[in-house]
Amino acid sequence: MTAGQLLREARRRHGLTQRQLADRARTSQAAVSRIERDLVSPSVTTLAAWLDLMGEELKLGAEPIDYGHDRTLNEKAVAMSDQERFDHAVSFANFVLRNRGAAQAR
Amino acid sequence: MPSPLPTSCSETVARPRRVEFQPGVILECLRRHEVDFVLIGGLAGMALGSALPSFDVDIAYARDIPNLERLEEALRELRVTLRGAPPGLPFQLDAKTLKSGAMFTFDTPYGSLDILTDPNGAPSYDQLKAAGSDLEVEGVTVRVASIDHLIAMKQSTGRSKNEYMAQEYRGLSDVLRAPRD
Repeated sequence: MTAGQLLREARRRHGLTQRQLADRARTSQAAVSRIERDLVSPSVTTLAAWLDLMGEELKLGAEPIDYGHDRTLNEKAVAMSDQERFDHAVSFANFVLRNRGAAQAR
Repeated sequence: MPSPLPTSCSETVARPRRVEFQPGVILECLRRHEVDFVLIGGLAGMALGSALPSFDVDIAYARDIPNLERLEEALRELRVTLRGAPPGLPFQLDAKTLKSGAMFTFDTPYGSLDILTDPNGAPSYDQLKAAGSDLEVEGVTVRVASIDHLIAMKQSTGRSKNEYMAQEYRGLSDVLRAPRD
């Protein structure tokens, strides 16, 4: 979700128009519109202040992304010696190279 | 079983129809000629613990003339040819040519070798080398770029394949930094 989407959803939850929010924030309706359309990215401070004007608290968080990579494979490789890891890499690469196109050939 | 490595990269071998990837021969040759280089790219990632395969050797190298001359000698011994170039296309392999180019992509009897002066996303060569670590492979010490610089380089290209690798490297970075027993 973008900052603009977050602001727009909060404003609508409270039944406010862009003008009404702008009045509270002592800014213009156009400024609210630009942020809500993601034409301008507000600072965290501004976003938190504007949400506060609607009785909402901005909460920031971060958590690991699951890209779908298997970390146990990395852990296994890291536990090897440099040479073992290198040999594994070369062996794997050559396995792939040798079998490239094998599926299509069937 | 992988084929045994030749004792030196100058060993005469007939070029096979399908090249067996033998990066150890390439790296050993570069080190024996005392080329100042840093291993980057997918093979560097694998050397650090990535599970994603790589099929070529990518290196960044110092651009001072003595190093370019040593690199030239190593490339001659590796019998490099320009990858993808029409057969017979003249290519003057010397320090002057290497000095004037930013990236060369070669074929060797041992697999592909790409040499880059300023890889996208990488800092200066000195910084790249300083942040790297030494790994012992094939009896030689090879300087490998740091996982953080590998991530920066992979992300800088904008290619989906490289973004996929950068994602895995981020996880690998956590594994590398995790406390060991």
